[in-house]
Formats: sequence, structure tokens, C-alpha cells
Amino acid sequence: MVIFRNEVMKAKIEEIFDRLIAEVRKGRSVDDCLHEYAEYADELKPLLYLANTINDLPKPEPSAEAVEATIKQARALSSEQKTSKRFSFREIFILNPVMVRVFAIVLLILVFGVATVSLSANSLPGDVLYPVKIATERVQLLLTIDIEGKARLHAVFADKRTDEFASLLEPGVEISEALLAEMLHQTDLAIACVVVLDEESAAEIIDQIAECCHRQMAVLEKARDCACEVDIAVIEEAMQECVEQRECIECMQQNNESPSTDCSCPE
Amino acid sequence: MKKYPSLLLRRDLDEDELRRIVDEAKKGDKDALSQVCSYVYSRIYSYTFYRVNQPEDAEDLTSEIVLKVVKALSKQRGNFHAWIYKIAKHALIDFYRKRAVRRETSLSDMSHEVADKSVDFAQQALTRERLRKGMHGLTEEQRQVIILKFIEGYNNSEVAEFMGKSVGAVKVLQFRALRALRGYFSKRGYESKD
Repeated sequence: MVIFRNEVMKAKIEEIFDRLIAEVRKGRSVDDCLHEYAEYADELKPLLYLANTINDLPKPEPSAEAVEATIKQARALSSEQKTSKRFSFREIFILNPVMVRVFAIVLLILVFGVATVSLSANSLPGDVLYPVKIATERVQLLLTIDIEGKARLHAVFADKRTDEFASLLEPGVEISEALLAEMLHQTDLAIACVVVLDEESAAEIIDQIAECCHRQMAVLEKARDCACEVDIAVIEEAMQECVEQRECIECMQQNNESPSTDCSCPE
Repeated sequence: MKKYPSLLLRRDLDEDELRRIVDEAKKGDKDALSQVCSYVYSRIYSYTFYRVNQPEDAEDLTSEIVLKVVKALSKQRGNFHAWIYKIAKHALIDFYRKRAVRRETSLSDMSHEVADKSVDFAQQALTRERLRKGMHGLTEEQRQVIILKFIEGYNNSEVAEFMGKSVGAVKVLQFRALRALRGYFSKRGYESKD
């Protein structure tokens, strides 16, 4: 009980002392202030005088040289910061959380994108990633501006469709007409591009298309042997088209130049 | 040694003026930056002066703090005073750590030093130097309260904000700090009387 009373008294005296400091700061004299708290006067009076004395002490002043030198250093530091700030990788990417997030998302999309495209390379029609493969090829075509590049790409795509068609062949299973049409279409497009190329650029691609037509014919023959009744007519029609393409290519090879009007090449 | 004129040290900036100058300094205005440095220097010098042994140490330390303030100025938000005292507090901790001195000079050393000169203390006015010596006998927080409230003239709320304490705690600290100081000076024959 006594301890509790002492604590309360202490709290009270600290509060009173603070109030008196405020009063003295406002201009009241120490004695006048203490008049209201006579019971604490003995203890508080010297403390109030001491507080006043400390308050009235002149402020310590540094030497002019020290201040001037610091200001000079500060100005130099500020200029230095300004120049380094423009190219501060750390500032942009490490300390800025928004940039970090944007960078992480872009990186994630890139990694995910590259991984998906790589995985889709071996996909077949019907696979989940096959549309990604086709989309990637279209983007490749869009990004290729010159005709020679486009011719090479169409030749490669015709080759890929041939492989895919061959992979899906199974005795008694219906063939994919869409895939077959796409295989022949890519060959047509490759030939159409080659037609406008000069002799030197065309030669290598013509050989590539010729080899592709050769493979296509072999695959179609195999397909006819194991095809269902309903597919035979479609395959034979495709074979006919393939023969025409091969004749055109052979004609180009013989002339070793752009196709003559005698060749039955696509326009 | 030439003393820097008080007026040039810009201790007297009001809140709006200070805010304007700080904003301009953040934008890269060199003159505003000089004024900010000058202002911070004057405020922090008093803060460090009573915490180290030599005025030269106080100048070095203050200079270091001002440069830290300039370096981080672009990131400054909120109460400017609270921010600079926070930087100063950390710089002081580093200073003590680097020097491996607990409180600059231990209290026992101080007692010897002052006791020898007790005759000079009697009937003489309190000087900054004597106050500095007396402050070495206080705790870190008590010293902070004496400097911020009685030397720098901040009010209780401001001191509480700078120190991260409640206003009640500041009242208790100031009372105990002054009582300890008074005890120290009484022992050495100095009595503060109007």
C-alpha cells in the first residue's frame, strides 16, 4: 500500500514538474508557479532553476570551416548522386518493387513461352500443344520478309506435315484429311515462292522440295496400302496432286532456271 | 577559429519554410540543399556536442550525419525533424561502437576530473562544458531528453515522436534527468539560482 502510494506521488510530481516547466516557459516566475504546489517546492525549485539555466545556455556553435566544408561535400555528393541515378540499375530494379515485379513477370512469361514452344516442336495433330506449334510457324512466317526465307520455311513446314501424316498412319484408322491438305498446300506455297526467285537462290530450295515430294509420294503409297475404303479416293487424289508438283519441280531442275510456261506449276 | 554566424546557420526556419526548402533540395536545387545542410548542421551539432568529448569530434560526427541526410534526402517522407534525429541516433551508435567507448569517458574518470576542479565550480555559472561533463553521468535517453527539450526547445510531443516514446515517458525522463544532473552539480558545489 505504501509502495503504491509512493508510485502515485512520483507520477504526480513528474506531471506537476512538467506543468511548471511549461508555465515558466510562458514567462511566469518559478516562485509564483511553486506557490500552488508548496508541498513540492523544496524538491522542484532547484530543478526548475536548473532547467531554466540549461535553456538559457548559448547554443554550441561549430566552426565556420567545418560547416562550409560539409556543405561543399554535400553539394558534390548530390551532383554525384544525380549523375549515377540516371543509370542506376540498382535503383530501378532492386529498390523499386514495382519494377521488380514487372521484371519477374516478363521473365516468367519468357521462360514459360520458350519452354512451351520447345515442348510443342514434337507435338502431333490432336495434342494439346499442337496449336502452339502451328501458331509459332505462323509467327515465323510473319516475321520473315524476304521471299527466299518464306520459300525455305514453306518447304520445312511441308516436310513437317509429311512427318506428322506418316506418324499418324495406322492400318484401318481414318486419315486426317485436313493434315493431308495442309501437307500439299505447304508444298504448293513453297513452289509458288521458288518460282519468283533467281536461279542461284532457287536451286537449293528446289532440291529440298523435290526430296520432300519424293517422301510425300512414298508416304501416300504406304497410306493407300493400309487405308480404309473411304480414304482411298482422297489419297489417290492427293497422289495425283503430288505427281503434278513433282513434275513441276523436275521441270525446274531440268531448266535449272525459273519454270518455263511448259511446266504445269502453280501460279 | 572563425565561428559561423548563427543567422547563416538557419536554426530559425518555420515548418512551411523548411518543407519548401527540403522539397526544392530534393528536386536538385543547390542553394536549397546548402540551406538544408546548414539547418541540419545547426540542429544536429547541439545534439552531438553534449554526447562526445571534443568539439572536433562533434563536428566530424555532425558532418557525417549531414552527408547521410543528403544521401537519403530523396527518400525522406513525413516529419523532417524526426527523420534527421533518427539518422543522428544511428550515427551516434556507430560512432560509439567504432570508438569502442561506452560513454566516451567513464563516469568514474569524469568524477576525478571534475572533483579536482571543484573549487572552480563553486559560485560559478553553469557553462556548456560543465553541462557536457554532467551529462556523461546520465543514461542515453535522459541525455536525449535534456538536449531535445531544454537545449533544442522542442515540446513534449515532438520529443516523444523523435525518441519513439510516449509523452508520459518523456515527462518521467526529464524529471529524472534533471534530478540526476542537479545531484551531480550539488556534489561539486554548483547551485543554479536565479
